Amino acid sequence: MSTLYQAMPLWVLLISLVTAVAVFIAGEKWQRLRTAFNLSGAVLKLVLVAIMLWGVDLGHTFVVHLPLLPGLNLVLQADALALLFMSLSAVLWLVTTVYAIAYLERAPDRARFFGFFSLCVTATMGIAMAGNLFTFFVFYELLTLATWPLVIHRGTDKVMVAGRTYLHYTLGGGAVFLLGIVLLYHLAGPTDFVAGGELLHLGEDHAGALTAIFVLLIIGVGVKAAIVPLHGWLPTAMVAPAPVSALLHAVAVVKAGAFGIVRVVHDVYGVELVQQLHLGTALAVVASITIIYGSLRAIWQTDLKRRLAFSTVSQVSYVALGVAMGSPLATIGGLVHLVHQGLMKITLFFCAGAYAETYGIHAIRELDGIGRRMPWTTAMFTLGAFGMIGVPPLAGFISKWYLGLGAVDAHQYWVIPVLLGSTVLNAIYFLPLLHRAWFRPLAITDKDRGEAHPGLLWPTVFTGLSAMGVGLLAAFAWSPLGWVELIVVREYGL
Amino acid sequence: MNALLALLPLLPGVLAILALAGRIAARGVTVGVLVTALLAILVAALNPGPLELPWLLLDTTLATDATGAPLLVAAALLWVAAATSARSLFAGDGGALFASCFLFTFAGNLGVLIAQDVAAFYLFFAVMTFAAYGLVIHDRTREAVRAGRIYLVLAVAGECLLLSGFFLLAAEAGNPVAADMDRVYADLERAGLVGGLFLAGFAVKMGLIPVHVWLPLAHPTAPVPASAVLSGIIVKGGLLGWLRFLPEAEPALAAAGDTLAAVGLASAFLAALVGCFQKRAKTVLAYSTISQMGLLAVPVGLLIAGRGEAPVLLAVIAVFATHHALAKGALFLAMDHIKAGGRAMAMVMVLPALAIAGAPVTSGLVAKAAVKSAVPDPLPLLITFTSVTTTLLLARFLVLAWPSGAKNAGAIARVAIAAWLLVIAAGQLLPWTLAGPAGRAYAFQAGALWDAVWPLALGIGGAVLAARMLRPWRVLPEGDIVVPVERGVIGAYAAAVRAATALSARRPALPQDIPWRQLAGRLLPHREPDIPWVGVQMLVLVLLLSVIYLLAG
Repeated sequence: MSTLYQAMPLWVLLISLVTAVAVFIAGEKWQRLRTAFNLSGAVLKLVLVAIMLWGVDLGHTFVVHLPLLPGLNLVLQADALALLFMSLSAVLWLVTTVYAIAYLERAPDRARFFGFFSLCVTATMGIAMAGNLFTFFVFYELLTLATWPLVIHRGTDKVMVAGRTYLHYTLGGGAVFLLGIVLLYHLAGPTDFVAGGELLHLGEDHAGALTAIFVLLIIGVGVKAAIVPLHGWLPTAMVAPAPVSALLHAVAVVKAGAFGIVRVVHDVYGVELVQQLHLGTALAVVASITIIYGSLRAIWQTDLKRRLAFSTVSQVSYVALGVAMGSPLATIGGLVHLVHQGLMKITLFFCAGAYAETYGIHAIRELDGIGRRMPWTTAMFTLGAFGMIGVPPLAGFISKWYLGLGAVDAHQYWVIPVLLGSTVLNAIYFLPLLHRAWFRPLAITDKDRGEAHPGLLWPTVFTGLSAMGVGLLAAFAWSPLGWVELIVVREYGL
Repeated sequence: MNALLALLPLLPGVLAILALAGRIAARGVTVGVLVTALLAILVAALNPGPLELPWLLLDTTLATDATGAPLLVAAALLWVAAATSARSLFAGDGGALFASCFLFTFAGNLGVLIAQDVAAFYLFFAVMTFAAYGLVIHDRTREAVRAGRIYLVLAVAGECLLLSGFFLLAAEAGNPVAADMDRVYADLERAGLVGGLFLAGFAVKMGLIPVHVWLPLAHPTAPVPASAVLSGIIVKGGLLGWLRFLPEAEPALAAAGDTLAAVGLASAFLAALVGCFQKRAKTVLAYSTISQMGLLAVPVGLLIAGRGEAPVLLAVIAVFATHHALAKGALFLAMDHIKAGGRAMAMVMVLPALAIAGAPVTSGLVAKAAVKSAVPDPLPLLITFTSVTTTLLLARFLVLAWPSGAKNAGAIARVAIAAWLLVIAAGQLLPWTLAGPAGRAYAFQAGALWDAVWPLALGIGGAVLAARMLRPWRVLPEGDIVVPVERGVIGAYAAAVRAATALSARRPALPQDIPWRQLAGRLLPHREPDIPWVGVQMLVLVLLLSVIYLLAG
């Protein structure tokens, strides 16, 4: 294998970075050029990620070491877990770019928007491929800084306040995370991410210190993963434009946090040590509280995007729950939800954006009868909602199925009522919405503008059908489920 | 050949999407249902081997089985009859949506009849359940929306019971197929719990007491063709769930099986009695369905508990289920036909009504005789007693449904009448054919005939007597126990809201009077563009970074 091939992680990272720079340079004037840069970057990255998927499946290793300071390396690597997140990010970046181009058709400051958009994806890629905690941290902070201009894109007073809340939470979380890293380096020296972790030998003597560090690290990533009570920023950040919300909720910020939890549990501490320190159950309890709390809050939201935001708070903790239970089956459920939640939630946000753009619908009560005007968008919204409830054959069903099996497998029977409770609560806040959209008489009196703009509709249809496809074809080897099974087999050494 | 199995749910599923987009007209929907129904009958006749699709969902297996095949024929006939009389509902405002829901329910229903593995069954069951909501609330009246809401509440509760059962089952056995169920349960750690969850979960669809309340609400508000398929064939989804995902004669489930039989018998009596005190014909029919499904639960419970021979009980269940599907479907469909056709139609309607009551020569005779022949004493006598209450109930139905005078305006399509007559005819023939020579001979024994006649006579006598004595006729609310439960829930919610409001009103206003907040406000200026605060945080990060550097170096 040539060095160039081995350094694939670097090329993937650079593509997004170069795209970002190119978009900034192209500026506001050359719109065609900018769009061309954007789309070709996204497509090229998709190709490279596909090549890497194929390579990792064959057992190739991709590692790049960049010495930053003596003893402190930036390590980029692509294992199966990294590729799970990268594939999601690469696919949804392309889709969201198409959507965003249509969404912001006449809006000002598009160059700034798309530049930071690409930068945000660069950071996501870096987080996915980070090979140690330090690298992870660097890109984690970059992500915070790159998403802030997107959140405050519209620049009104309300938006600036929301942006400030966002910064307070995420930068604070970053600082706690860094403290955790420093303490861990002090205790164990710099270690790379390794399946099963390398800290087991310290478990006996330093149980207290390891527990404290674990809590710090989880708080650090938990802010972005919106674990209760660190979730406050997420519903506030709903003021961002729809494509940003979609990306924030499906791939970038929230998922980065969830992915961080996976890395900390699996590749820093290792499942065995986490169970030995009784941290698994603690994390599972926190995740369960988040799942129920988020769903409960969602019920009383009257704004569509806010309801979806609280739904995200709830759903993302499925990932933490699955990872925390320490059973291979539960881990499958948690990891596959990383992708599944992304597909379903991005569909829901695309729909929310399409409603807002086409008929100016923001409040839930304005949705009455919209299914007549926008049947395809509403059909996709229906798919996303049923997926969130966990109805087969949608993606959410597969996640919930494996989480449930894992709960039985790990003898954590109390998790089953949590999953069922979440199902019921999801039904309570999604089904009335579907009833409104399909069965109520039309509320809006505007003239009939028909379906959403094709640039908004087609990405939605794509992600909506994908959310069904990954569930329907779950048993297929290259489905997200098939890939996650590969990860878990490698992780647990089965 | 077995690829035809996949077409059964797929074809109506695709049509449903096209219907939603408004791409097919009302006639197209009917033709689509007809074509699919012919395919279904073909599949039932050919009885092809199982179709295994390992790449689909979690390894899907589709196949017909002893109960699925006759119900497939019944479903095909009933759905065609429903589709032909629902022609006007597919057109006009909201017609596309109704057509789509109708077709999705059809797809889910056919899928349930042929899905053999847990995940695929759950998939079709869910499609059927949620799509049927669109049928229930089609009229959009306040009443229909309430019925739909209660339907959904119970449906979701049922789904949750099933899901927890599936979790426990699949954690040990993966995604098993129905044929392996006996072996799977023998190795299962908590066989009793899993079985109990399935029994309860599917009981919601079957409408056993006390989870029957959705039926008497949903049936009168749904359009007639929708009620016909709901009561005739959709409720049978619960039956198939029981048969496929519970073992035969499993000792761990003996108590659960006996309980099911007991609850079934209680439902049979209670529902019939409550149904007599209803004022709408369709509600009475809904109670009749609850009662008959209770009766059907008796042999299922015995099968699970291991009392009686499994092959005999299975055959009996198939005969009874087919008989009820077609007879009850025909009765519901008659509600539209007598509006247009008057007395002539009503005369025809008496036949399926007599069949439900188990009158001699009708399909009800062979169905009830079959059940009685397969169950141990004293159940045959008790089942004979249910014929009395059933006769009372159907007498009430006929009184309510009988056309009072001249025909109403509005013609009914000739093809709809033909399809309806076909359902009635098949409803009489199919159970007799299924029963086999032994079953037919048993039904025509003098004892069996006598057992069919005297309850009927007693029931009719009782009805006449009651009509004289009980004046004015008292009326119970539709859905009986749902009324106090609903009031209780609404009251409790209102009380909780009041309590929460009172609490928050009493709480002192927080924000301003906390000292540290003021202090923080002074120390950290929260004003645009807010650079200082961000700067401080960045500085902390940089300092920490250098600490790392020192430690690592």
